[in-house]
Amino acid sequence: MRRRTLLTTAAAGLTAASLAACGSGTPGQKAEDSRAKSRTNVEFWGSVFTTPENAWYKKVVEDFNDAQEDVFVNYTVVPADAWDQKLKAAQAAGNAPDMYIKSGRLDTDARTGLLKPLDDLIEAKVFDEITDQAKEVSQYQGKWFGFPLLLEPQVTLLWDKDLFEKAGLDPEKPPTTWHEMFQACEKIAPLLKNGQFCVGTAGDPDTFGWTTVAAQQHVAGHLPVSDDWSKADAMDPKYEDLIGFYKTLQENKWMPRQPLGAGNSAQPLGEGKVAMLSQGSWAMSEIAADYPDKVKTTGMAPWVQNDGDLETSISTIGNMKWLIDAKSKEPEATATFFTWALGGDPEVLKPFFVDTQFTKAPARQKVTDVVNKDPKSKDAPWSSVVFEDIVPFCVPESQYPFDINAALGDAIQSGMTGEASPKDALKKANTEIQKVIDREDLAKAHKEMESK
Amino acid sequence: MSALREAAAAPDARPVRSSARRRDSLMAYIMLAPVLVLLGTFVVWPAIQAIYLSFFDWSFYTPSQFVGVKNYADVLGDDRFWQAIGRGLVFVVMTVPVSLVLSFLIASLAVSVSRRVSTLLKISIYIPSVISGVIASITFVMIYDYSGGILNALINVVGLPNQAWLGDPRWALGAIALPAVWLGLGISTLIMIAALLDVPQSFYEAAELEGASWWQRTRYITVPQIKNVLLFLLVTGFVASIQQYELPLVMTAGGPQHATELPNLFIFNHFRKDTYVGYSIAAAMLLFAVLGSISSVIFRIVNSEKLVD
Amino acid sequence: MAITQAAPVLAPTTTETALPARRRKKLTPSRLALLALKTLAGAVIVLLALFPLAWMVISGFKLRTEVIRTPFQFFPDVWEVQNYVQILSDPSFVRTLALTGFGAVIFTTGSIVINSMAAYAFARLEFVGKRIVWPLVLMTMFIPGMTILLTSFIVVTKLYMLDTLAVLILPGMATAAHVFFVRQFYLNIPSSLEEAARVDGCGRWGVYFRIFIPLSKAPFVVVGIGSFMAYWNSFVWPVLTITNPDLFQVQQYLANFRGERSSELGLLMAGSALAAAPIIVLFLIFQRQIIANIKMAGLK
Repeated sequence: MRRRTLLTTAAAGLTAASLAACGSGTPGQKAEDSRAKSRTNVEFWGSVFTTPENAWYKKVVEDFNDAQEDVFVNYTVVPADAWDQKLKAAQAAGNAPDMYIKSGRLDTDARTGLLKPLDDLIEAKVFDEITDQAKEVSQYQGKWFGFPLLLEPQVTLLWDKDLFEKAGLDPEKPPTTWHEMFQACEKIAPLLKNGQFCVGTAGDPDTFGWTTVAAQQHVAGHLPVSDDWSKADAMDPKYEDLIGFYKTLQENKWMPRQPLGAGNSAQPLGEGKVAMLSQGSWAMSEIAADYPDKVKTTGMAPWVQNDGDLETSISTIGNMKWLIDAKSKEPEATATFFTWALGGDPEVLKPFFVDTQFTKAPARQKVTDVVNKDPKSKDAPWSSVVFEDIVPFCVPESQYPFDINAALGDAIQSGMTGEASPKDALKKANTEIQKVIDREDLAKAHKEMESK
Repeated sequence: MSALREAAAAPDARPVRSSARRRDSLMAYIMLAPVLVLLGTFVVWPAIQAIYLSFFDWSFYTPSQFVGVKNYADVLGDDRFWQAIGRGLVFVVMTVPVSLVLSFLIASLAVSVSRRVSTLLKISIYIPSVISGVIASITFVMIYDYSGGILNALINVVGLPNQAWLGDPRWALGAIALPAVWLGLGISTLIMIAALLDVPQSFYEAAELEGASWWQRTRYITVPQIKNVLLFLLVTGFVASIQQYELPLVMTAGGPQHATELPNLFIFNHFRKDTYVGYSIAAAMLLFAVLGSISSVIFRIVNSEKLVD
Repeated sequence: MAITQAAPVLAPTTTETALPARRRKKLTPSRLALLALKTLAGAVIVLLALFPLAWMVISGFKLRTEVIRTPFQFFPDVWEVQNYVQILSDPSFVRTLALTGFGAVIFTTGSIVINSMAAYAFARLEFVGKRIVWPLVLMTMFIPGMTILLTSFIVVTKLYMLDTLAVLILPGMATAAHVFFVRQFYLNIPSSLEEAARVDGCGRWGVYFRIFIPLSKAPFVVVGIGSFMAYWNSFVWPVLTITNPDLFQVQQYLANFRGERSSELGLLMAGSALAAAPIIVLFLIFQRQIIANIKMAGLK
């Protein structure tokens, strides 16, 4: 018996030792890389993007680590589903990564001190090249809090030219207004089998929340909060029209009642389940990567509007930018990576834009020039649509907290499915938005944002 | 660890009352140490910290601000919170009674068939219980798929149109309840089988002599005899069900229109989306309080029922 | 990995072979009808219970566009083993399975050892402070994980436990419910046994090791399977605490896979089936003990 006790004790001790030995202490750090030693280590969290993007991120980190001997960047992919909670938890515990990638606006993060301003870390002339559209979403109170990589329209219209032709429609002429879309659907619908639909759009409130911002602005001339963020402003009858658009699609069974794929994926179009799809410009690079035989028959155009005016607020402009955490212990080393990868030789960035099939706009003019010179651009007829017909008429994403987008997304969803009348749905959204405004004192936050 | 060895090796003395007591204490502390240290570090201390944090507005990188009970007031005044609690109760009603009735029926069947068939039944009904919420979610999302899922294909056969099981607020909560029942049925059935086997066979023989029907036997013999087990299953089912959040997290993230945002998921969604963390911690505290009081009420009922027996 | 491959086949075959076992008694027509009814009911229950798993396995044999193809099809056009082969030849998946299994074994062993030790102390030993400590331990049973999710994350960060196996194993190892359960069992062991052992010259430790542990097989099985499942199936905690892909846990791996390669549905289903296989096999190995003992979880 005593021997057994001893053995148990020994086993317990061993277990404890092996557990301790497993610890490297730094999240995401892989022990193998010898380059990591004797260099300044920079922790970099990226998310999961499309296949060519993921490949570029891996490569650019590798190249940087090979190109110099002072800094070692350790790149970790955090899945999109886990992103919010992982970053939140890491920030709360004070061990967020030195740098990470962010889409969307950075105002709230900058205001609450999560980010480090880049002005003192990166030479001013590097910033000079950045386009105005990219600058607007990367600054807060006149300071750079993010380094922009790209701009991309978040809402475009993709359509299946084959189906258009079969339905007797001009395959090269997509609808431009809500009404034209209805007409197209009337012709397409008889061709569809059970489980196929005329239009695929957002199908859940959150996705509606961020994909309809430009349309909200377009139909009503304002967003659902007052300019100073003190009052909810969601009860505009124009928003009822917007809900009505989706409601018509629903009522005629032209769009599915449940999304056919993830909110930001081109899967439904790729698998031939929809004739038209509302999706960001990245959808085209997804089609090219995952459904190559669909490339020839897929077209891209600005998304339809109530009045057919395709030069005012036709889409929000999404973006990706790199940020440095305010508590980073190595901001200078991190900034050298920023300058090398995003602010330096355009050739470093070129493969990113070429491999994503010219669906994204670089944040620097120099890079755009290099990318456009690539011979492959000739095989990507949609690139001129993205760069010339869509990007110039995009508006920035909304700056207020996402709860407000979600409230309006809820209204669209419940109005569209007939859960509530559009009017009642908007009334509820209005209350919800006001609640957020009061709870987070957004009027005060807005004043702070405006002050320079 | 060395203390453990020493204590084990210590020569055994004849019991002398006071020193025996002392050695009892020593052994108890050694035996308790791992559990107490771990629970203290990973449960009690975080709980104390959570209580403390619930009185602050904290966005992590700026100094946290003491806001008194503001977070609690925000939560209590938020009808979304109450809707989430209400939804949790609806979910309980959708899952627990169904689960109890089904496991009772399956258990009744299992005790009335041959041993081999009974084993087969037990094994197949229990296998789903070892499946994770993630895998169950992935599988059921495929089953519910709008335009290529097997469920819609089945209802098409009887002439009904496709339904948006996860996209329509009227269906979604039920669509989450189904895998929840599927995952939980095994354990409750096995417990129920054990309880049925404990009912003395003579009761049934007597009833059969008097010509009692199956329903009468169930109503007047079985149910009263296994009442404690039923109550136990009710309570544990309630606690498990109202805390469910993994299934809706993976399957719907709480949508559509919050129709599947069960209480814990409501908190989790607030945590990952809010700028300030106080709201979600206060909501978690309040949920703890609400759950605790409901559980204690149920426990009280259970206990009083036990006393009557 | 032989284990993981075998499992998907197991479920359907058992269903078919074992059913018509009971046909020996003399049958009157009404008995026959009842028997037929019972057999039918039993078959329906078995089919429904196992259907989602079978569906997962079948879908794993489909091409990625077949899984939710419109119009619907039940079986794949060609039974492709490609998905299973592909995911099994992915070293990161195999490593994830192995590592999760390794962690689960340590976790389960540790959980049985420390919780039963504490249970013994609460059941059989008199010590100063028992009346305060016991309710405190019980209370932790009622603290929802969600309430302390963030703050326990802060604690493990401060202890430099992120991205280690320790962060997966230690925080959940001590479980009040398990202590409670084993304690109930120990309370029912007659004290005459203990006294007899004492007369034979056993000390307290001797009583524990010679009397209680050998008698504890039943509660250990229940605690063991509960712990193993809790570890193998845990999802949110690994997602928060493990960032290094080398240490990914199996549920986390699946969720990531679903996010990263959302269009590879056949592969995802194959991966899910393989991730579920080890725990199903484990259950089938121990099913006799588990089924015999699980009832105790509900009684007393």
